[in-house]
Amino acid sequence: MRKNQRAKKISLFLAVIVCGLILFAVTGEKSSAANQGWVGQILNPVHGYLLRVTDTLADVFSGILNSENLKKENEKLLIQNQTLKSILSGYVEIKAENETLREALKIKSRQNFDFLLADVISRSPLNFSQSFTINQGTSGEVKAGQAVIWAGQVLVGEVRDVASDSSEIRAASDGEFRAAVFVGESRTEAVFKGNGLEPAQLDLVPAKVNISVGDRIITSGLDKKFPRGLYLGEVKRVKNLEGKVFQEVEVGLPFHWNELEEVLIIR
Amino acid sequence: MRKILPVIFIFILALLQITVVPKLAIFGVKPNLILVGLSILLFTGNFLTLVFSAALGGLVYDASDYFWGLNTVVFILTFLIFWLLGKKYVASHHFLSLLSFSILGTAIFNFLYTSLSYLLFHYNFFDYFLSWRQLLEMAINGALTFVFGGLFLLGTNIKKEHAAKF
Repeated sequence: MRKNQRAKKISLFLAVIVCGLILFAVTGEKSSAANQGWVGQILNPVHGYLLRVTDTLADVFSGILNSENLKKENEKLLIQNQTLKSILSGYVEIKAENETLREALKIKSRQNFDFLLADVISRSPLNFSQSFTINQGTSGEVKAGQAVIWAGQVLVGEVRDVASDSSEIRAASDGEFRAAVFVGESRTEAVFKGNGLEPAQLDLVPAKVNISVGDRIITSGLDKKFPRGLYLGEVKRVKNLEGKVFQEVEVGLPFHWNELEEVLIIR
Repeated sequence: MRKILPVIFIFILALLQITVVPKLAIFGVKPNLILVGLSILLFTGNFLTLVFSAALGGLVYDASDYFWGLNTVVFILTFLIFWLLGKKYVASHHFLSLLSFSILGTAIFNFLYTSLSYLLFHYNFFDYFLSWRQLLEMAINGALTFVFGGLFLLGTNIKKEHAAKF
């Protein structure tokens, strides 16, 4: 009898907790975890430290296990680096010529970006969302919607939610991520769409347009969300079905958000 | 001390989940370490300690996820379902029971998470819930529980035998 009463009390206690949490989750002004006040303030340094330690350990072990592959990859990258250096010298010439022409034609130069460096302090734990948290927030003038890049001008995501000392970044592969893009040299307009764990896709690519595997995808800036010219990836697979108005295009992303340890925010 | 150890264990698992585990994903699919941890401790831990562990683990997940409070709620609910099912239907504390809890628990957790995130925040995660990747997640969680749960129960049995001898 007493045991039964105790069980009832515990059930009631848990029911109150669960209902309270649901109510809190629903009525909270912001749904994101980045806005959790004291919890975030306690956990963020722990996350950051642990992430650095575990990443270092993971890198050491993968280095030991893949030493043979790393050697081959290094040789391949050295050759690739030399090739790219030779191509770059050509681009330097073109850039100088471009600047001279801009000056002569009095064309306004493009806006220079102002970057903010941030460390990744945690990654989303479940398979549903593709996001990570960084250690910069409103104190670093981070705002929701800003573009997050890495390695030159590769767009890796956007700021989803901001707290005082941390922000949550929605990765480009997340199901809710969208960007207006240009595809290939023909600069075909399309909409880039993250697709969760499945490969990202391009929407609204007319069936008549010629798109080939390997075409580069850059942001067009037409959505007034991201600046023009940020690299998103390249076309991985094209499926043009007869009778359909649009083609199905799969996109290969240059980075997986899990691999990122630092990112730059365009302010 | 016996009551604190599960809490520390789950807390460490939660920290690992938000840091190193995403790097070890198989076909992009990550295991759910807290679920694995709760399955392993199901027959040995104290009820309230385990509920507290589930809530703490959920809180750590919430710190790195989209919705504040959702993981905590879903972990508590999943654990309660685990506990009630275990009390009613599982007669022996065999490690195969742990395995079935882990596999079934993954489906229950994902179902609750998907449904609540849709109902409360209008986020649609049903694509993942209905994909083959969820089956892979169930398999990974099951495999982890099989290995570590088996080892844990083996250790506990050896300890009991040792205590009985002396």
